[in-house]
Order: sequence, then structure tokens, then C-alpha cells
Amino acid sequence: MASPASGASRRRGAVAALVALALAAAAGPAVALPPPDPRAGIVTVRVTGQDWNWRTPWAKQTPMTRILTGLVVPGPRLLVASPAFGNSLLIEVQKRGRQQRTPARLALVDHEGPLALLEVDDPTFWEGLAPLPLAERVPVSGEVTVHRWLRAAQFESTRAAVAQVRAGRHGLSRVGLLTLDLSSNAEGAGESEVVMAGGEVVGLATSKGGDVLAALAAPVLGQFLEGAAHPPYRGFARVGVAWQELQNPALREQLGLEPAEGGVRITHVLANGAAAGALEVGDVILEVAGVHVDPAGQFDHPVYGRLDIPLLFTDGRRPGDRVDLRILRNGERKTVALTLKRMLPEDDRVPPYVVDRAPEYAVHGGLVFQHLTGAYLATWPDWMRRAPPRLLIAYDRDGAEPTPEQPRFVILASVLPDAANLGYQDLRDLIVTAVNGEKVGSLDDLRRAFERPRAGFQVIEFLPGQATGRIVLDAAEAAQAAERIRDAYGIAP
Amino acid sequence: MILAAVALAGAAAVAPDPSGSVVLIQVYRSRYDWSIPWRMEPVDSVLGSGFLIEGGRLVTNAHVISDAREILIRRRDQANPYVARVEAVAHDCDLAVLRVDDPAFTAGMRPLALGSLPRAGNRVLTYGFPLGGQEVSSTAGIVSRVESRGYVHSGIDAHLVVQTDAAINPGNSGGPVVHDGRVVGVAFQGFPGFDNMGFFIPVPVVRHFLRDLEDGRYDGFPDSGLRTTRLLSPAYRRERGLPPGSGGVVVDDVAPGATVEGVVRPGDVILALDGVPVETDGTIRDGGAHVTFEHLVDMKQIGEPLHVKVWRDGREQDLVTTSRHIARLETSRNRYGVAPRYLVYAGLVFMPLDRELLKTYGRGWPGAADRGLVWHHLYREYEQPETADREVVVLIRILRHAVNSQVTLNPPLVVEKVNGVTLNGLADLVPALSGNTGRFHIFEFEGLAGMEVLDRAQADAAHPEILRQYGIPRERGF
Repeated sequence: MASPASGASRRRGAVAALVALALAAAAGPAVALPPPDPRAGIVTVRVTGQDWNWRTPWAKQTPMTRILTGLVVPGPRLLVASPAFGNSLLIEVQKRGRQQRTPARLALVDHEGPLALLEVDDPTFWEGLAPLPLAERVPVSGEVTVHRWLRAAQFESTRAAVAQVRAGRHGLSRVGLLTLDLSSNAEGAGESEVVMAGGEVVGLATSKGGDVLAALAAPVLGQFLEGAAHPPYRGFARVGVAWQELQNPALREQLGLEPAEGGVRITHVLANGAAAGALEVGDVILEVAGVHVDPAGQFDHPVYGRLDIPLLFTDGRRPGDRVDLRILRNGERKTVALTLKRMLPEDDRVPPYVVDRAPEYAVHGGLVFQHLTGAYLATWPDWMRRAPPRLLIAYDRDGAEPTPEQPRFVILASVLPDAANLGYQDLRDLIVTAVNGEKVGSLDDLRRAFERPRAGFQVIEFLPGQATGRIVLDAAEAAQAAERIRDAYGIAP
Repeated sequence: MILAAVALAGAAAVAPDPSGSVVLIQVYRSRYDWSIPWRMEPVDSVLGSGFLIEGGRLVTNAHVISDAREILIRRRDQANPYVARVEAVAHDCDLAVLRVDDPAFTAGMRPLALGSLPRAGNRVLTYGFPLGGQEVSSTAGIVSRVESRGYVHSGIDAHLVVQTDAAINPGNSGGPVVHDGRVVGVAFQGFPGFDNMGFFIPVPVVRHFLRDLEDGRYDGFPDSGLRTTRLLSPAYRRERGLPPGSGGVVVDDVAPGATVEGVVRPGDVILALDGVPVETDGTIRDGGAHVTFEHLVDMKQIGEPLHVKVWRDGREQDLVTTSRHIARLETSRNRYGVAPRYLVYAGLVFMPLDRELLKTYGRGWPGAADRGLVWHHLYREYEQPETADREVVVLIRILRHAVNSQVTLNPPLVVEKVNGVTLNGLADLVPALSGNTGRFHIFEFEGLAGMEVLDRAQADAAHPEILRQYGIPRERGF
């Protein structure tokens, strides 16, 4: 829903410091610097992970191993841009394409990058490795080189051309960050390959669609490393508003805007977002921290040209920072301040993704309840079209804002057939509204309500318009069935 | 022919060969285009079958003659076709009555008599013109089962159907299904991929249609309005306090404006309708068949009384209500023969939300169409029953012109207000626009979309030019 304000970084000072460190590590304090050897700064990272099975939330799926590229950064540590660290169990690193594997540890992960910082305890691993310098700014055109280790100890460097610099989202993230789009023919790339130009790292590749290789740009990497160096880590910011463009001159006039004034109109303010209390629906944002916002929702970046305004909230800024906005409200121009905020997926009423934590579920009388999540919906192939329509509406239309009474949607996901639930075996994917007359906005509510059956019965009510409106279990039968159902369906107590 | 002889031998009297009463129907049709509502699709033609009944009327399927511009009837013994007109059509049960005004048409043709509901195992013959052809084709089959099933023509209605293994192919549609020399049904739909499974509309549904027409007007089937949960759960039956061995289904909710509204309440258990007990799985025994209890409501004419026995407050209660039809459900059906309603103003094209509009997203529209539109169409009535009769107005398209070229919002957009007036239907747009004396027309949309504004004087000036440029014959389709 709301266009997530998000961003990239222009943190010149900090990046410059990192570059200096990198150069020192790579070549010592020499005056004439030889170009750094990419082979010494790039390693292979193997991540073995195992996702939960959201259809049977007490069980896990088949483990998978992904092979990624890691960038040596000062510390020394390894920087990797990939969503593969969600639900990871084992991380191994290999240098110079060798077979020998060394265990690594996750020092920091931000799925809203997605970026991860790895530590390797074995000091011998770092022998012969040296950080590569991060570019302060990335090229908006021209050639770059994409580096990675292939299996048989082969180092591959392929040419790619910069197509554009834009605000992009990577992996599961909803934050728009400074992104390099490259035209590349590197096969199977998008696994954190290191993109370099002029001897500096300009990005880490995160995905490939057709010939376009998308990479998180170096300033974002720098901002992440800087954040990691100054705990507590604050992450990337979102503003939590939706807006509309204001190119229509009649609309501008009606709102009382001057033609050259620019601006976008706020159409929604997330109640739990950074803009709550500062911005209102109908406000027109004219400037963000002194930067003019154009009517198409873009701004003029001194280096990269026109970029989407979410970058203004992340480029050089992080959660906790205060930003002044120049707005037009009810015909009056004024300045309001908001404090940027990190918004994690679990802050949504329907979390778009869930990693590093087991699915939340409750089994009662064989009825399997879950919180509605993007992870659950993603179990349908082509899920954005084929998942149950009411659940998709809950996700897309009502999924962003939890309320105190309704922090989550609770669904009856499926039924494990048993004598205790006779008659309900075919029910699935129904949104629960109440149990025993008490409103249910979370699994905690549900569990509490099940502790207070009504006259010996558990009464479950659903959002109307679904397959059924209300069902009833015998409370004593359901309680007695708990162990039998756990045994029959292999659910750990 | 041999099979026909076998069937005839089964009848006591010598029944005449029905094939002389079966005709080929050739229809030239043109459908309205819901994505460009002032336009019609190119003409195509379909073939179907029909048969003569008493009164000089021809019975066929509604889907054979839907959106017809010309209907030609061919007798198998004559080369020249007759022109027919539609006397009545019922899209909700896929039946139609045609009439040929030329008195020569029926000469020597014997009307077929209607029989009764066949039973599973009965041998039936289907007559018709599969894939067209000059000669009537007949195939024999067995009645496999009688059940309630969806009628694909309207998309939302379910009535009694009979499944048979007699081949029912395109062109058979509208042809009679005969048992013991009498018509027991009208062939109407198959199942793609299931060759030995054809369906026909059984005679009770045909009779319901014909009886409905006796007053010269088609009213349709009553809508019970019952949203129920089956009582297969012993725990649920106990919770309702039902005596052991009791049947019935529990009422979750009642649709506004429906037959049982104001009479039956949520929590009631429907024990019997017109004295026929309802089983815990929601079926009734009708002859040898198990069909849904809705069949009993279905067989009522609008205005007829319906007796409902419910379990309420720990005892049986006998209630009576009058069969009613919910008119707003028309927007949930596939539409035929009706022009889409629309309004074009300064290049903004507005339409009411209905199933045809959603179908422009393709077969998978519940997942593919705009989520807001799907919610309004499928769920709003249940979640906000007080708004059940609201007609949702959608800005479906913008015909680009200098006057609107800077409008950046992308259709489809649900229109909430125009010039401050909340819309409860497409017709509300006209006074909202024409009554505005302000400098701007202000359109406010639902959800996160926002608003758009047109300069009123410029929009008024551009309006006729846009109609002309885009070849729109009328600014309004209603």
C-alpha cells in the first residue's frame, strides 16, 4: 500500500573514511597506489537455510544451499547483499574459489536491504585477503565489471553497462534504495556479485531479470557498514505515507499551488508510521529538508539526476533523524517536522514476509489457526492472483495498519480431521473475527478466548461472506483430542 | 433409429417420433463490449436446437439466442428458414421461448408434451443438431443422477439438473431430452473434458419457467437469502440444543431483501421447508434424489408462500414468508442482451461495477482485478449489509485529450464523491456534474488513489469534441 519512503545514502565523510581504510589494508600507506586486485577482496559464501512450511507451520521445508559472492570489507568482515540469510542455519566461506570451507557467523543482517555482515573467526582465512574500496558515488553511465568466483577456482569478470540509477527495492525489502541497473549477460547473476568501476566497488548485484542486473549502489553499502559500526543498528527509514502526483494543472490550481511549486499530495498516512501526527491526508509536500519535490514525486539529485522522493528520507538519513518538510495544508504553507522511523515487516497487520522466526500458529481441536502473512499467501503458486481473494484483499488493502484491537488477521488456515472437528474437515482460509463472543485480533486473543468456552462449547465466528459464518466445537472433546491430534499429525507439543 | 425404436416400444401407446418437432436454430448475434461500452462486438453465428410445445411456441436455451440480432429456424423437411423472435427469455435458468409468426411454420408439426422428472437409471434420448447439419440426430443415454448444480450461462444460479451419459455437444443445446415419448428436459451444458457427461434442464425447471410466463411477464426464481452452515458437527447440534437425531442447517446470516428476511434469524436451525425435512447436510429427499433444500425455494413462484419450520429458543416454530427475488443480484450475473450502462464526460468513462466489468480482467478476475472492485462485488454486501443496494461507480478509462492529459491517476478507480456529492449509483453522476457551478469538477476516489480535478469550462468545451474524436454515439448509456 503506502509508497514506502526509503532510501540511499550520500554519506560522503563516512564513506571516505572507509575508502581510506580499505586502501590502507589493500596496499599500505604508499603514495602510488596499484589498482586493487579484485581476487583478494572477493570470496564465495555458501548459505544453507531452511524455510518453514507455512501450510504445516510446525514443520520445515527441505533445506537449500545458496552460493553467493562476498565482499571483503574492513574489520575484516564480509558484506553480502542477499535475502538468503533469512532462516539460515549454516554459513561457510571459501576463498579464491578453493574447495576448503571455513565457517562464518552472521554479525548483522538487515532484510530491508537486504544486506548481511559476516565474521570469520579463523584468522588464517583472512590471509591474502584485503578489502576493496567502496566508491563514494556510482557512475550513471559507462562500463562496469561484474566479478565472482565460479566453481572450479575460476574467477569471472564480465563487462556490463550502467543503464540507470534509480530508487529500487531488493529481495523482500519494501524500502527503496539507491540502485544501479546494469545491462549484463552474466548468467545466473544476482547473487551478490561485486560490481566495480575504476578500481572501486560500485555495487552488489541482488537480482537479474532478462538482461537487467540490479545492484545495491555503493552509498547504500557504505551506510549499512557505518550503521553496523555504530550500534545500536538503526536500519533504513520509511515515512509511511501514500501520495499522488500533481501534474494536473487544474488540480494544482484547485489546491492553490503555484505552477512552479511542485509537490505531491498525501492520500494516506500510516497510523504507525513516521508521518503519523506530522502529516495529514490532503497535505501537499513541497520540500523535503530544503529539497524541492516535483509534481511527479521526484527530486533533482546533484549527482544522479531525477530520483523518486523516498530516497530523500534515506539518502544520508536514518531512523531517528528529524526531517523538516515544507507543506501546503488548507491553503497555508508551513513547515512540519517528522522523525524518521524504521518499519519492519512485523509492524504491518499482515507481515509481508517472516524470516528468522517460526510461524505463529495455534491448533485447537484440530483447527489450525495462523496469523495471515505474506509468507502464508506465498504458498500458492502465482499467489498474487491465485490465493483466496478475501485474503488477498486483507493483504493488499487492509494489511498495512494494525490497530490496538486488531494487530493481526487470524485465519482458520486448515483443519486436521479428527472426531473433535467432525463436519468441518473441508474448511480453510477463513478470517476469524471472534471466539466465544470475544473479538480476536491475534493468536493471543484466540488462545485466551478458548480458555473461556461458553456453556461447554467453543464458538468460532468468521468474517461474513466466506464459506461459513460460525462453527462450534465441544470444549471437552477438543481438549481431549489435543494429544491425539498432535500424535496423528506429527506436531511437536 | 434402432435405439429410438427400443424407447418407443417401452411406451404403452405408439408415441410419435419426436424428431419431426425438433428444429435447427441459427442465430446471428452481436455482444456488447463492456470494455468499450458504446461499442458492439463483430457479428458471429451460433447453432442450436429447439422444439415445438403447445401454443405454437419453441423452447430452446437462453444461451442459444442471447444477444441475437437475427434468429432463423430450419425445419428438417424444408429448405427455407423461418424468422423467429424471442417471446421470453430466462437467463437465470438458461431457457427461452421463441415464436415464428409465419403460420406455415407449424404446419404438420406436432407439439411435444412435457413429462416429469426422470429417475436415475431411466433411458433417455436426446434430439438435436450437434454441429449443425440438416438431419436431426438422436443419441441414447441413461440418467446418471439428479442434483442441484450451477448453470454456467448466468454464472451464479443453481437449479436442478440431470446428468446423463448421452452425448451433449455444441448444437444440441436447446434440444429435447425424451423419455417414454415425453420431454423430460432440455439439453444445455457439458463438461469440457468429460465426454460421457452431459447435462439437461429437467422438466420441473422448464415448467417453472413456463408457469412464470403465464401472466405475460418473466419474474425469475425466488432468492431464499439463507446463508447457512451444515450441521454435520454433533457438537454444533448440541450447542443449538437440538434433540438427538434432528436434522437441519443453521442460519449464519440472511441476505437483505430476500425471501426469509425479517422472518428467519441468524442462529435459527432450518428444520423443514413446506413440510419437507432438511437433512444436516442441507439436502432434502426429492423422489429418489438428494438435492439441496434450496430446490424447494427455487420451485416457488415469486409471491407464493413458503413455510419454514425452524428450531429457535429450544423449540420448533412454524413461520411463513413470501417468496421474493433480489433484483440487485442481476449485477452478479453474466449479462446478455442488455447494453452496458455508462457515462462519458470530458473523456472520463464511468460505469457501474458489475460482473461483466470484472470479466474484462479475464477468467481469473477474483484474483486479477483491482482488489477494491473485487471487495465491493463479492464481499461488501456481507460485511456491510446496510450498503447492499449501493451501486459502485467506477472510472474505467480516460479517453485522452488535452483537457485531461495531465490526469495521472490510473483507472480503474472507485468514485466516492463528485463535487462533494457522495455517489450511490451511476445516475447520481448527472446531477453531481450538471449541478456544479464552481470553477472545477472535483472527483474523489476511494482508497489510496486520491483526487482529480477538471476545469469545468474547459471540460464542457472539450466534451463534444472528445465524443466526436473517439466515435462515441451517445454520452450516456442509460
